[in-house]
Amino acid sequence: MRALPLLLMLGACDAGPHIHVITELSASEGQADFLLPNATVETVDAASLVGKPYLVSVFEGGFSQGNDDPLEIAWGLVPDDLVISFSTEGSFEPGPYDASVIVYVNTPVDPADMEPGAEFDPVPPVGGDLSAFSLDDGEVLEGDPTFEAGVVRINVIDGEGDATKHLANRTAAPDDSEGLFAAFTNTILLVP
Amino acid sequence: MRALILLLLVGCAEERWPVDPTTGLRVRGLGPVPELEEWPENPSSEAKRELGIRLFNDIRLSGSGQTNCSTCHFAPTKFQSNTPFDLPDRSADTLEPVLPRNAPSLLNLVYAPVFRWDGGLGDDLAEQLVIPFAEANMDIAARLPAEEVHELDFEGAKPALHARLTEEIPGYVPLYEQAFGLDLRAGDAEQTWRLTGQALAIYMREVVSKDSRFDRWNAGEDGVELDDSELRGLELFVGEARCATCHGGPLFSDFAFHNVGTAVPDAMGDRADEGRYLVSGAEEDRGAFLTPTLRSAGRTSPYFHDASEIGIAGAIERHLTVEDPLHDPILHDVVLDEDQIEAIVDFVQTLDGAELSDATTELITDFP
Repeated sequence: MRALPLLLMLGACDAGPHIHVITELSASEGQADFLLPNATVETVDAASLVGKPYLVSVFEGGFSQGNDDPLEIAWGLVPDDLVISFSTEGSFEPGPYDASVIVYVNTPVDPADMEPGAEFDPVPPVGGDLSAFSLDDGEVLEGDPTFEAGVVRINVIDGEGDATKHLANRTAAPDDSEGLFAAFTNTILLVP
Repeated sequence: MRALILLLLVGCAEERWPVDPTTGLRVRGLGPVPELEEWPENPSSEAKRELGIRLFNDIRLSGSGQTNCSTCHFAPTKFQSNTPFDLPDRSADTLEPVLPRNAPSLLNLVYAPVFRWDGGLGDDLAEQLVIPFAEANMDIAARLPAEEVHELDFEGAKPALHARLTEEIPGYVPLYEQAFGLDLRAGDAEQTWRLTGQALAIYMREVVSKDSRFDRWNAGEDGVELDDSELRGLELFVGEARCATCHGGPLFSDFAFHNVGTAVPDAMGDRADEGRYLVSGAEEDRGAFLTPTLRSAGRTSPYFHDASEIGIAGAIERHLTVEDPLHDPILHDVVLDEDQIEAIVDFVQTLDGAELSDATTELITDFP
């Protein structure tokens, strides 16, 4: 599958809906808890996240990680309030889209890669980085492609305007299966 | 000979890709994943499967208590991590050192006659699945040196696993009894080691990538089509690009070792990883690595033993860049342009298997 040409989309429905991805990392007394894939929780000094590079990318739904180009990307640095707000510049036709959010806590990022217009050269996260994640395949509408757990699904619905996805560093007790599933939904994981 | 193989792969030319009435396939050299036969020495059972999935996910079976199989082979992401190098257990807190090679997906491991990038450590699936407890990966005995990620500690791991499952977490004893009809406490560490591998192997039977869109098209299923680029990619794959020479068969792998330029010697002749040579000692095996299956490859970026390529296109280009004197000659005169490479990428993406069941990727919370 190839990514849809962005310019076509921008030109075709400039006034149409946009996609917003709001990532709010919460901390208590300067400490932020993150779930790991093995369902353990690790606590990170919140100050260590501030100023780290982040990359938000929006793809056609069901894209192949590492192989399909994004429709839009945005680089930035994690602000003091730990809230990463991303809104697409272009508008999107109704359909499924997948968003990736990575905070490069440990991976060095070349500042040139973060320049507007720089060629998209994806850098996979390494241990200690943060990544958006969701297990909730209930967000896959009938007939739509599934999505990989390392991204989140965003559905732009005809007539419903902008689509917004909220992400947070969710956690749950490891012996609570329902709570754990919720914690693994639209969350920000710590990459082991 | 090559022409004959090609003919066998692509079938007759009356229609470009007709379904062969004998095989029921359009491309018989790339048939479906076969049904998995029962293993006489380790018959399947629900009890073994339930034990296996718990062993796979239980962090208490690692030295630090923070690592499980899923740490590197995460079930919801096709039993791999999409990261370049995963963390061994001892690095759970410090994030270093990392494992020296990219952890491959466990999809279709049950069909593999040989394991690991260099084919080392034997060809027994059950043994292969339990070995990580004796490696830095899980390090259940917690006594491997921190700077060494190649060491094996069977002497420590086997008794440690036995003690963990019989004394420290005795809730596992009845699960083994249900699965194997044996009381772990009456057996020795060798028995526990073997049965643990067998339970994990039974769980792996459902970790299979099959029934891809290509498989359905290949079987002539109504309404399933490949687009022009995918078909062009298929033609190249079995034809002039020679991909199918090594990535052929139902599993899209010959399970052999090839040098495709992923560990090129430096000016001093040293390679970052000697690959198969480390196992065979044969000079011609320097820089050679196991051919990975391409099933679900579109979901398992990054690629190669050193995770040095993020995309399949880059991986194909690397195959064709001959900088290593031991580079596999199969590819020496293959030249592909950008559009051809893109078509092959499109074809490979048709090999994504049907979704694994929710039960297979389940988050386990009811540990014994």
